[in-house]
Amino acid sequence: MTKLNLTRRMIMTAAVAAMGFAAPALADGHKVVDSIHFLIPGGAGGGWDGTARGTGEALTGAGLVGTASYENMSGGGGGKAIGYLIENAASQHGTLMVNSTPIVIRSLTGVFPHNFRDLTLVAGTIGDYAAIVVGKDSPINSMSDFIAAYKADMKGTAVGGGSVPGGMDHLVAAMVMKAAGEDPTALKYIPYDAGGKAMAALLSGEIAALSTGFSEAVDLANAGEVKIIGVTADARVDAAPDAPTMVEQGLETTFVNWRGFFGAPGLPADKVAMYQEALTKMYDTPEWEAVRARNGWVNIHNSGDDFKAFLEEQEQVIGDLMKELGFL
Amino acid sequence: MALDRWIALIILMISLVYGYTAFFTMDGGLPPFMQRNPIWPSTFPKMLSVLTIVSALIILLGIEKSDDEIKPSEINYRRLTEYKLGQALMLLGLMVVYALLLRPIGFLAATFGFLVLGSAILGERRYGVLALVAALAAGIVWYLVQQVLGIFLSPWPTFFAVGG
Amino acid sequence: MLEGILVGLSTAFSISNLLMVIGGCLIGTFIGMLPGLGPMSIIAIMIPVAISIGDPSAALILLAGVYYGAIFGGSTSSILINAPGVASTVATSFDGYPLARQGKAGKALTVAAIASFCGGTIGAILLMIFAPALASVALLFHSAEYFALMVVGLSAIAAFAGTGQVAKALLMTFVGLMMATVGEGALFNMPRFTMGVMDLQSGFGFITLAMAMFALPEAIYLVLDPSRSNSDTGGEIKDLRITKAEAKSIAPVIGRQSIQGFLIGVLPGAGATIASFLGYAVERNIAPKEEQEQFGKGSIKGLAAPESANNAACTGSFVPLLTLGIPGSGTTAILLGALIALNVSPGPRLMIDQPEIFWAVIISMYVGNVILLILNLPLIPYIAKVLAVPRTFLIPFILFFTLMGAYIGQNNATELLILVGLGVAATVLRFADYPLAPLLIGFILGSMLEDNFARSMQLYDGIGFILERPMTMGLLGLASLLVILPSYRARRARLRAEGVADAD
Repeated sequence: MTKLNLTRRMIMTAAVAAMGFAAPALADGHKVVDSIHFLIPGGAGGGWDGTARGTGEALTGAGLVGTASYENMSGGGGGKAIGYLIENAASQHGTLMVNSTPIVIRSLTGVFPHNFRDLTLVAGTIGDYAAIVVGKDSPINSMSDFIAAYKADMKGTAVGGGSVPGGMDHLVAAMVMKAAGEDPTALKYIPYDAGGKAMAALLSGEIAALSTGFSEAVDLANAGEVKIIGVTADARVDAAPDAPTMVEQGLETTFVNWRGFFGAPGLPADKVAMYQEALTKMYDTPEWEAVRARNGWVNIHNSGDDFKAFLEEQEQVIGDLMKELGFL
Repeated sequence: MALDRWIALIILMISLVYGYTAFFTMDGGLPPFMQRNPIWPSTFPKMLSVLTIVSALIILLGIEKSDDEIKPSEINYRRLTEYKLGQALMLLGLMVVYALLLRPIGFLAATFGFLVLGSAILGERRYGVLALVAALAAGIVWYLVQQVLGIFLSPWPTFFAVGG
Repeated sequence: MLEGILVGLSTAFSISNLLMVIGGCLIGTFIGMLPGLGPMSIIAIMIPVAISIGDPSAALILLAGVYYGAIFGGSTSSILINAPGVASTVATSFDGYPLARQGKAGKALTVAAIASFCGGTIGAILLMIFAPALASVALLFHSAEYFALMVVGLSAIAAFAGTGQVAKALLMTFVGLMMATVGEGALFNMPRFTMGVMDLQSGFGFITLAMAMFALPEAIYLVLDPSRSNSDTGGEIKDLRITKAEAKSIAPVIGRQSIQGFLIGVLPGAGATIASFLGYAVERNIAPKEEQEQFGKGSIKGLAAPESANNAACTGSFVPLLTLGIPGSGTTAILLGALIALNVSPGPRLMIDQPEIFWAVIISMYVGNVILLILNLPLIPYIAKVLAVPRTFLIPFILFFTLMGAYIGQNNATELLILVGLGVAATVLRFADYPLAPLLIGFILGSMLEDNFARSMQLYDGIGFILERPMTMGLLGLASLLVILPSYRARRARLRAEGVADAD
């Protein structure tokens, strides 16, 4: 997530993303916004890109928005686009920027100088849980097996993930270890720069388990490659009813990687309300349902003040955890 | 001192700064959980800085025996002024101006200007053909990239493209 | 298997699917020529079109056409204007561009097209026969072996370390490796050496550096010395045909590199770029002495090796994709997305559940390669004519292409300033005879080298992995052999030339 990680899921969203501009449908009946310009803080093909283009596709397809355009602006791990939106706030009233959990994590680590409070919060739209998976032939079948294996051989039981150390996948793995009463900083976390490489490492036995996004884990499980041994949702998710949650295994760990949209600072209230209305109405449309299902996204809708409260809570929880783990 | 030694000297200076950062300042900000790792963000840079310093010194001190016959370089930098130096510098300047104006005045105008002025600097005087080619090229590239491929390129000056 | 092939053939040879391939190849070739748009972005762009077709076989055939077209188009800009748009065509420009400068652009393009065709075709045949058996090979390599493989890849710089130039080539490699450490890596949670510049936080961009090291200095040279463009490349495009002797000399190269490239492509952590550098390094080191000296100066062997290797590797990367569901490269990752969107899940069950898809993919590769060759061979004289455009027009366009490569899809104008700055520095380095290719090789391999090294260190709690893993040792041994062998031979030749008695 933090870089252009080409995980399965993200590529898929990219694939779909690209459909955004192929959808010309303009049912004018219940149009809420004339046009939206999506600012994407990473290059074409990433997870942010997929979210923006998928959302744009649903909005224009359903006729809620007249036209959607997309601008990729990479640099500074997303910081460049945030800075651009803030510096050019006055001329960016028609722009929505997509972002996700890393904006919180990376503001905390000080990677970029701004944080979400410097922007106008529009809405959080979708999310993805995290999951721990093991290879299909692994003797490990549950989180307790995993923790037993870890206790038996701490050095030999490495967990891999697609984020940097101290990033999202590492954080999830550490949260789980903490909930199991282990020292989360002792866990051997091996970072990979792409989902495919992490998967290959899991199957070749280089790592014992993989911390990854839930929707990606579901694809892998469907392909018969892995077993999902723990999901960070509150309750089992419909997409994979066999996958046990962390909570039901006695590990009090829940985590959602959200994605949502931000406006320029000082965006007029009527504009904000207009965007929020369009996004709210989007959830009831078949066009959105098609996009969502195709990408395996989970609807997690937080508009306006709810979004703010959600982000502040997440910042608090993650910040505390990172301090405790010594990540900060 | 020949140019290649000057360059080695500059690279030596850069690698000294790089090495200093790697050896003395980088590890300070290392979060505690990473200090347990056998490899730190500074490990690889440390090795690199030593290797770079050594090879830069080899060139600087002329330790490696080079051929007696110094092969004539394709361009003799000692007589740079005998080449079209002015044109090259102007084109480089033009590239910088293009980079600075690309966003403020938009892709179409900036590209048109760049192609016309670039050719003019090189001595092209058929301005009619030039303007036509430049306009066509700017238009076609923009159409391909933005309309066909769907990759955003802001075509017009920012002030009347509010909302893109 | 035969049954499967027949099903695949009958699918691929319907009129509509042939049209798909032709369309895909043409689109891929033309877009692929733009630096900055590699196969990965082009396929990502074409996917909605493919999905809207609905039929998975037809969609895959279209994408295969686009894929091969894009790879071919990428080689074109490497050869004609020294502007490699993707990392896997960097090695193509080592010898392709010198050939073009000698007025042999047409021949270079022909060699590239044929080498690509053979690489892709031989790769497809290997894929067809060995795919299931190779699945386990894909998982043989751990991070330690990947680290060793990168070291073998670095040995390609030996080609640029001529007599009295060893220190310069090494220094440039180290500078490239240093540049690769700038910004955020995959392994550490803080950006390094950014000097507070936000645009460096993600590191130097590959395209920016490739343009700054290769295309821009070359364009500046063309400006400085007008005789350079007119006398050498202007006017007639001579020598389009490959002579019999040339065909004979490159045939074994193509054969070897197709197989070697394919095997490297099978490894999910290696890919086409490594395959092209390794192919170049190996062929140079086993070539006879007089041919060895031609490498980097316009050797058709040096052009054929990376071209066949990178195409075969692209095909090889389908092994882990189809048999394990693991994408080994950015491009196969995008294709995987397309497959999933078409309700095909690649993995161990694909060959059992949906054999027709598996065979359609393989046959479509084959057809894509053939069509590409048929379409492009007649076009080559016209493509090569680009160089005959008057320099007052050509040079601004080369500069514009260089800039666009770094800007398209990023929209970050600061990148362009970095490009110009690095380009000026590269030109000065060229004045002083510093070879620039090692810098780019170091930069491309640097982050993979460090990442895999760091992972191995972490997994084995120290440097012990080199001793614990015999395959790692073997590969490192191979790397030292590749470096030492040529210099030993050169030394012996020199001693002999000096009249010293041959002691061994």
